[in-house]
Amino acid sequence: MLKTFNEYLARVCAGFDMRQPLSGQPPGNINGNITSSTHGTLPLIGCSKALPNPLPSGVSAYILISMGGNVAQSVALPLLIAKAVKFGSINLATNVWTHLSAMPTVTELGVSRRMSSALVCVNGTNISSSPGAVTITYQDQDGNTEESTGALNVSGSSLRGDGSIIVLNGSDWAVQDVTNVVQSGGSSPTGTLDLYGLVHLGMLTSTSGATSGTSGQTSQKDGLITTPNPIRLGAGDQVCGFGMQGGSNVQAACLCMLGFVGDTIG
Amino acid sequence: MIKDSNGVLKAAVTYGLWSRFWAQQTGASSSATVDCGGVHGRRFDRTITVPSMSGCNQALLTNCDMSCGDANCTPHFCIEYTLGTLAISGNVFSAGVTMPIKKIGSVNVQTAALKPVLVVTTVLAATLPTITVTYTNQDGQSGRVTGTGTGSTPIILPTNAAVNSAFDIAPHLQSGDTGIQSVQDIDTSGGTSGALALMGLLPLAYNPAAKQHGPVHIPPLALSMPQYRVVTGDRLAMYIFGGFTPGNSINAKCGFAFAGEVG
Repeated sequence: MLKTFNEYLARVCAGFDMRQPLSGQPPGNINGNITSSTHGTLPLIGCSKALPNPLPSGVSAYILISMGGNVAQSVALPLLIAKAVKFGSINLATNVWTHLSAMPTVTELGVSRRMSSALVCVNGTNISSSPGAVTITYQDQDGNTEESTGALNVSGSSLRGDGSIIVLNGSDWAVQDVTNVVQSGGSSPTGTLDLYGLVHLGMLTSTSGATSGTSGQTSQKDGLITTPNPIRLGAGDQVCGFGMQGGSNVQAACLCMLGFVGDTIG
Repeated sequence: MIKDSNGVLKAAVTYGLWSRFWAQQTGASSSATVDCGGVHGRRFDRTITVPSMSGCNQALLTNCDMSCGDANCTPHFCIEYTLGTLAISGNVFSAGVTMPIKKIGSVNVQTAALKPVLVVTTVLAATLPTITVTYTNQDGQSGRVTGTGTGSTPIILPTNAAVNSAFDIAPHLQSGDTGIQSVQDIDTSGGTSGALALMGLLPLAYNPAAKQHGPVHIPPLALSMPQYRVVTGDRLAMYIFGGFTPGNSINAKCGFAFAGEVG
């Protein structure tokens, strides 16, 4: 595994680097998709292509070492670059929760441990006008199960990509897994909600532009020298860009490039 | 111990980074005045406990991205220690901990809270209460009292200060003092209910160029501030200070990573 800056350089020179674009634009105005109390909006702006699965020969993982590009929106909206771990989806029409994944178990500070993250809820599709509420059952940052958020009102007619950071129970600040989501109330609700945990990789600065896509700020960050954050990413992992703050009726777009280096085997 | 960027890269392989994404929004806090630090402050009360370690016994913050939803605040990512608490009803003080000994470089240093902050943990029912803190200062001298000596004025909190309001009392330390090692007493002049905690902060990273919604990538290895290591059980907290609008709900978000080492 790569342990020095020179090893990273040599690895890039040996052709084990990879560039992937990360781009996207929600279909319309972002207002936050949960009308109950939240920890702020966090729309899903765009995603890069999933990392190769299986990984190429000679590569044990990918490490994000640079990120840069243009982030434009109608209000200042920095872009969070993160590995998105999809806990699952709730179909509001059928009230069926489909679980996909928990946060990964990795070695942290010498201890094998399941990661945790602030809980993000994103509209997987456009939402109908009277969607009702959802109640989320989760495993918290300490591994306690059967924690519940209580009923969270979903914003009617909110658009695909709109998102919010969920207020958890008591003093909980993070989630290891989401075990169930139940829809209630509303009138003929349709749409899907996707629940995510995030592995933070970096943030890109932006400033407000006149309208989405027409202006913005170019920003870049290295993940190797000044702010080393060599998180190992695996086969099929998805890196996405989330809008960090917002007001109401925010429009946003991003066009970025991510630079990875393939880690050695052994 | 980690001494350069290569050390971080190596530690990431040897022990694995501890990395998390945190976010919180809190409601309105009370405005600070010149009688209580002069700078608005707010504490985000969902704190993070540093987890267990194996093979390493301390960790260094190597990466921190912070963003805040107000144009005029400076987010601080800190290790937080409860130096003492006060229940307004009955004026009941409870002692907390002494600031820890931390290794700075290769030297063990008895730290002092350069940022001692009075936090409202339960909303106060008190009209402009005068709060007096008796403490041991940065040099280990006990019996020091806020609001005494030339240039030091008493701490007077706003009436009915809101929960999560945070008041930096450093300007009110006894004349000549710069920090607090421990607290012997906290006293209020009046009030019927509510609670305060005096927190000692060791800042790990801060956003020095406040820009609305704009993240600042804090290079902890390059900052002109002590690189405190964290240990298992340390409590990490987010504060904002500055000219933000106290009456507003404000959210803050932080992505961070720590690398383990043997101290």
